[in-house]
Amino acid sequence: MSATLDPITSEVIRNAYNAIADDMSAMIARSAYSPIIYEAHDYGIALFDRHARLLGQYAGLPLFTGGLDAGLKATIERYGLENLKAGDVYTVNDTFITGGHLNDVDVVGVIADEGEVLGFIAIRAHWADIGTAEPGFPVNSRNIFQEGVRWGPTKIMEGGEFVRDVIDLLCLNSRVPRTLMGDLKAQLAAIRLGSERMIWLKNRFGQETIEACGEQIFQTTDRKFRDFISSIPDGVYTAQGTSDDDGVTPDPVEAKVTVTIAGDRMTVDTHGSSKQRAGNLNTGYANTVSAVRLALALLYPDAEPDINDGSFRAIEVIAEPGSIYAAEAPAPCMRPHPVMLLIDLIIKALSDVLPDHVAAGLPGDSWNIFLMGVDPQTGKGFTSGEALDGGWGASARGDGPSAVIHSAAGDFRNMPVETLEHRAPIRIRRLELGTDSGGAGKFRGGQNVIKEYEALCDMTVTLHFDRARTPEWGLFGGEDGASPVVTVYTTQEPEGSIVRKVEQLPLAKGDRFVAETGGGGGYGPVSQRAPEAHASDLADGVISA
Amino acid sequence: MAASPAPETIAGSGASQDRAYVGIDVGGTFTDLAMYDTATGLFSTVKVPSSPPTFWPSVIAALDAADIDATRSATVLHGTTVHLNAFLERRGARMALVTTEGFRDIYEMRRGNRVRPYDMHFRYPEPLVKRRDIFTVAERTSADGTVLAAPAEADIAQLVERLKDGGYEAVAICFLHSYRNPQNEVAVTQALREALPGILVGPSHEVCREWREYERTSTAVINGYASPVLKRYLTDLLTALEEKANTRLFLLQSNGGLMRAEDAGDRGILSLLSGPVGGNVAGRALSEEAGFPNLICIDMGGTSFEASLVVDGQSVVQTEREIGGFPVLSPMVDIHTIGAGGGSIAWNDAGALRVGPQSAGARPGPACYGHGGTEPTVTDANIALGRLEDGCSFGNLTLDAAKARDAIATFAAPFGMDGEAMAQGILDIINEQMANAIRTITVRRGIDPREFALVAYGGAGPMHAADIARLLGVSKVVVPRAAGAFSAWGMLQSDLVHDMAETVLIDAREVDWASFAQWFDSSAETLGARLVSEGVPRERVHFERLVDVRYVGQENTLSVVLPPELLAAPEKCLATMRTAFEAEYVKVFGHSNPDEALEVATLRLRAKGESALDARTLLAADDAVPEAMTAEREGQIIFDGIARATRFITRGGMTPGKDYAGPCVIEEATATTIVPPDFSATIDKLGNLILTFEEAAR
Repeated sequence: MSATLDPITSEVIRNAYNAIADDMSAMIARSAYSPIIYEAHDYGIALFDRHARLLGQYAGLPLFTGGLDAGLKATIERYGLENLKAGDVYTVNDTFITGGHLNDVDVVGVIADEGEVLGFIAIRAHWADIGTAEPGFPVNSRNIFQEGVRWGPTKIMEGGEFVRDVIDLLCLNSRVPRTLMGDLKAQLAAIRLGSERMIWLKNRFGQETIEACGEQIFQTTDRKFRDFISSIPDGVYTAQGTSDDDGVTPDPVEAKVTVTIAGDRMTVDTHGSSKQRAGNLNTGYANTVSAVRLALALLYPDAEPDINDGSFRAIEVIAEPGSIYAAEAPAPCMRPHPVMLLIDLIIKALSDVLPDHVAAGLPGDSWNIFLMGVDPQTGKGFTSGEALDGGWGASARGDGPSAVIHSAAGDFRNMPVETLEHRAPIRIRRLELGTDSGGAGKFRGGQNVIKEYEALCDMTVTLHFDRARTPEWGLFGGEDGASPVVTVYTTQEPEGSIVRKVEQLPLAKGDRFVAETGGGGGYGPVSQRAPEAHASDLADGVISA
Repeated sequence: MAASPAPETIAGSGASQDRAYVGIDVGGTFTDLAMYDTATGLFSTVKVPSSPPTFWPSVIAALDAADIDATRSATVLHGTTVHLNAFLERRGARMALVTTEGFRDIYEMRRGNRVRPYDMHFRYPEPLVKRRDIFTVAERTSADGTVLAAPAEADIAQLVERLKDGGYEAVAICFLHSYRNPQNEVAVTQALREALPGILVGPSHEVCREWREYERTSTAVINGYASPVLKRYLTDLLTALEEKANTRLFLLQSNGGLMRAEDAGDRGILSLLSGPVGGNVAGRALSEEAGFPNLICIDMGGTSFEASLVVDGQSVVQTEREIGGFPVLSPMVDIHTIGAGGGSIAWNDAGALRVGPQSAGARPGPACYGHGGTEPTVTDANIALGRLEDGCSFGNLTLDAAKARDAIATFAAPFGMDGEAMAQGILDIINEQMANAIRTITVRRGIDPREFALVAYGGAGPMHAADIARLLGVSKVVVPRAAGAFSAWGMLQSDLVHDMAETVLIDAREVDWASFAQWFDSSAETLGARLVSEGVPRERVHFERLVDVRYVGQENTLSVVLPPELLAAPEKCLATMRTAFEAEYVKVFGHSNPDEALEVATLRLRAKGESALDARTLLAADDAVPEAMTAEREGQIIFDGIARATRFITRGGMTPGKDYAGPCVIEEATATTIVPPDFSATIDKLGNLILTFEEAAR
């Protein structure tokens, strides 16, 4: 069959890729075991052609999808394209390949028909436990070995059958093997669905047409992104900020970004950022690349830009090996907070030349709370992990939305109080938006979240709250948003003590803590705020004066 | 109207020989009526313009047009979008929300997710209740349903004063864990209802007994926001109907069943999709009689395309969805909507061809409307290819093919394509989008669309149905009799349906099956009594006992039916439930986990008061007014780039049982059906138009 290349076929095929990825997403969300997958949507899905070029995706968690090509390419390199067969599935979680922390596991399915590889499906999902030194995600790990089992590209399914010994190895190294298998099966069911649909598409149009259209889709998208970059004045733009500390040593962690726009190309260089640190906020290079891609997509004017292999051909990402942005083994990488900061800093660096596109400081962290203990009523162990929302930055279009997740996490949903209290002996005493927490300005930053927990039995809490030293900044005269902070009230310290990062802090029955996340940055001077907007905020209790 | 009606069937050919059964579907532009008269055995349809903004006069106008005078007994079965539209257009009630102290912002905070992750400026729609209108009460119930703190009388008294001062039309109440134990909600509700007569007080537990506080709050808020609009409408309509002797009014609910209009006004959430679900209900009615147990129901209008399923003769119902950007927890027929319609605009995206989701709307509308529109639309593509005739009328418009061709040719030039190829391309892309939407709803349920027939109704559906069917590998398309009034026709055969649900969240091994049986029985008693009070005889009351089951640790559930005889044998329940659950799980997900424990999340009881008026009676009835006939003629349509001589036939002139080879166009008063060259058409013995894919038939 010869190739048909016309805009109609291209559009039909492009629509099909995104529909397939969306349907796979529905499959996972419906059948997964881990709350973090089905409830929070902590996963990303991407379809690739046989050359590992991105065709379409479900961007649920955009930082995931932006890095899925790295694990796939490593898999192809390890096994050789000629050795990949229909029904084969591989997995990889090595941070220094995929960029993500070890819990974020890539599962790669081979799409093949009649002996020929047509493409790949890659799904990154957060696995509940992959054998960390302690349950949950340590704040204070000192090397990658404490962060769980690490594996390079590994075959887990051959011709549709599990590779049993490898599956056993994974299960034996997890505290929750059944959940792990449940989540894996959900990923595999989605891969099966996606493969069937991709083969159906190939049979309908022919492989040559599919490939020719793919190239046309990439070129169109590449042109659009280059047009956008060309619209930004040439120049060198910088921004810098800090993560509070690395969880092990108290010094701030420097993050510096230099964005160079030259014609239709954009280079993002992280030189000047900290060398890789003793604590675990380092990250693999692939994660840095993903963050840059996400920042560009956020700046791009369409609300729903086309994301495929053409989207990011015009960007180059430079990170110094051995720095926090391209860490080398055995650096600990569990909580790569500077990656989140990087997204925000790229936006800030370009704010002077893209004042209508940007927003002031965005939610600066995922503000994690992890509780663990044994419920005396049932005698059973429990764990509960959450990421909290914060205030989004204001922009030229208006006030920032309140209580949304960090930009890296996209469609991630917070945990309902009713679900949390049902699953763990916790009582939430208060969950509200913080008065005066959004940065003041012509347009106000979004409000933060204040959430008060009471332990109903003895337990421990692990906290990761960053961005106190560099709160969500205001832009063009707008003020910074409120700083994140956690105050713990115990019988020993009834007045409360301030904590932001801590590993397994013991709480006795009746102890409480109040978590306050960051407020969004304001945009423009507060002197220009419309009086009716001020009055409305006052009437709603968003501000106190 | 408040008096309890005599116990007779809502739609019974036996007891009420002299009654007219009337289905009325009030749409934004037109109101359709379908009527079966038991006295004459005749079936008829009427179309009248709708009467915005109040809409109820169009019901009276339709009844008048159908010659139903004040002496007739009539049962009116009704679908309306009046409250849905008020909600979507933000014209609902001024309302307040009452929450648990400390949780005032649950509603505004939502779930924190950003559904367009690359949109820096993403924001959700403005909440329906402002923060200043959200009040809190010191009260608390724990996750296991224990009341930790009951609301104090003084606090309630203070709340009453503040609500009085606020001038609200409706108050929603949602307290934490009320799905488990609504005691505190009940207490505050009673107090507010006593103190605030005339204000709708809607606690969450009365419309939703499911967990997740944001979604339940949202459900209660939409109920409060939309119900007063519905109630005003129904009150006006019922008052007007009092002029008509012995008229009884029922409203179609989102779950595909009817409820008595007098009860509908306080629970608008239950009938929010009253209008859109009509077509699916009609599909369900058609399914049994026409011999298609599995149907894909499609409705294509000017701006949107809606698809829903009938599986094994039953509507596919979902218990959660988003409407207007807000979640709703309530049983609703699963209707998937995308922005694809006759008005969808083709556009050039940096050299790539795109169609929709933007629509030209009515003004300027497609280029062929002649209102100054220059952007080519799907309707323009249809007329450019000859699928719609130049100069044909469309409502009160006359379509201009030359304007459509000009717009398309101009648009096509930068792509290096001629106008005809572009017109075909626009149709190919929009058809593909509609097929993708259907794949979405089938794939998500583990269903193979090739096992289905497609039923097409509504303005543009029959024009595109064969092309969509081909893409899906579907070999049969049904264009029902009275395709233009299909929803109204379906309402005639709807059952009265009431649902009850309770979240239980219990490991299946620990279930006390006797207590489940007790819940089902007592719920059946409540709902059964309600059906009887609505006029359903006991022998027509049926119950379905369902449990929502999942593997322990999962969130999403599948529903399993528990027959009453099984519940009477508790020792068999677990194993039988497990077998049924796993069979369904394999069907949907392709695998199961036999080693895993099961959890029962929710009990659901569905009570049906069966209609006695069935599709057989209706399909066998003769038309009161035979279909108008015009002479057959010949025209030309371009199919895939080739101009083909095409017959234009009047539906009423077709001989039942005879095969008409494509290409041809079948015209009737309310719809135009395209039969492409690879399809043939026939009229079945029930009067349905059936298109068959010829390659599949061979």
